[in-house]
Amino acid sequence: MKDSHEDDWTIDERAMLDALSRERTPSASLKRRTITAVRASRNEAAKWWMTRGLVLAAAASLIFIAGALVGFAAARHAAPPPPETPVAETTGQAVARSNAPTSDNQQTRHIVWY
Amino acid sequence: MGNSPEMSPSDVELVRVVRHSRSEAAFSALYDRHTPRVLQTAWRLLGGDTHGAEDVVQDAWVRAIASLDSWNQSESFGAWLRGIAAHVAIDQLRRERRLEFTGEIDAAGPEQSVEHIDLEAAIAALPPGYRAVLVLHDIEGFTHDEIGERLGMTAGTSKGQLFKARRAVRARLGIDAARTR
Repeated sequence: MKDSHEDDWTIDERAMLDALSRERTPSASLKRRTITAVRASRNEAAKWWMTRGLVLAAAASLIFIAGALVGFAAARHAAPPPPETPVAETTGQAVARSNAPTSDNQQTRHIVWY
Repeated sequence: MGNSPEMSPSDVELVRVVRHSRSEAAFSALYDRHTPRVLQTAWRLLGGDTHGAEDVVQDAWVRAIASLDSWNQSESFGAWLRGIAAHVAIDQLRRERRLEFTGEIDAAGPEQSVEHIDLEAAIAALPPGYRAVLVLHDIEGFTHDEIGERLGMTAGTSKGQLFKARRAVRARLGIDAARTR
C-alpha cells in the first residue's frame, strides 16, 4: 500500500502518471523462450534433488556398511576364549566336583583341602 | 486485472495446477494474463531497454515458478510477480553498476528539448536509481519500506530520492516546481 500522504504530485500530474500505459505487448518469441527456460529450470531442480537423494543414500549406505564392519571386527576381537575352568565357583560346586570319583579329582581335592 | 472469474480460472487455481501437475496450459494462461504488465514495469525500470526488459521477464517467471510455494495468496499474483521482476531488474542495474544516486540530476538531457519530451521520456531519462524509486513508488505503488528493502537503503533515503526524482521530472517537463508546491 502506498503512503498517499507523500504523494505531492498535483492532480494534473497525477492524471498524467495514471495515463501512462500499464501494459506492453511482449514479442512473440518471449513466451516460447520463457517456457523453455522454466522447463529447463525445473529439470535442473529435479536433477539436483535426484543427485542429492542419491548422494544421501550412498552416504547412508557407506555409513551403515562401515558401522557393520567395525562392529563385526570389534566383536571378533573382544570375544573371550571359552574358559577351561569356571572363573568363579561356589564352594558347593567345588566340593561337589571334588567328590567326583576320578583320580584327577582326588588330586584336586588334596590341593583344595590342604 | 480485468479477468472475469466465471469465464476463466482464477490465479489461485492456475497456480495450483502449475504446482501440482506442471501443466503448460495453466502456465500459458498465467503468462498471457500477467506478462504485459510485468514487461511494462521492467521496461520502465530499465529506462526503455526492450531486450533487457524481456530478459528480466523471463528470469522473473523462472524465479516465480521455482518459488510458487512462497506466494502468499492474500497478495495478488500480479503484484507478487511484479515484485520479483522489480527485484530482477534492480539486480541487473546493480550488476551493471548503474544503480547509483550520485550528484544532481540534470534538468534536461543534452539533446532533448523540453517541448518535445513527454512524461515517459522524462522518467526514462532519469538516472537508474532515481528512476527505480519513482517508478516503484509513483507508478507501481510500492511503499518506501518495500523500496528501501529492494534497493538496499532506508525508507528515509528512498523518500529523499523520490523528492529529487520528482523535481527532475518536473524540470524536464518544463513544469514550474514552485507552482506545484
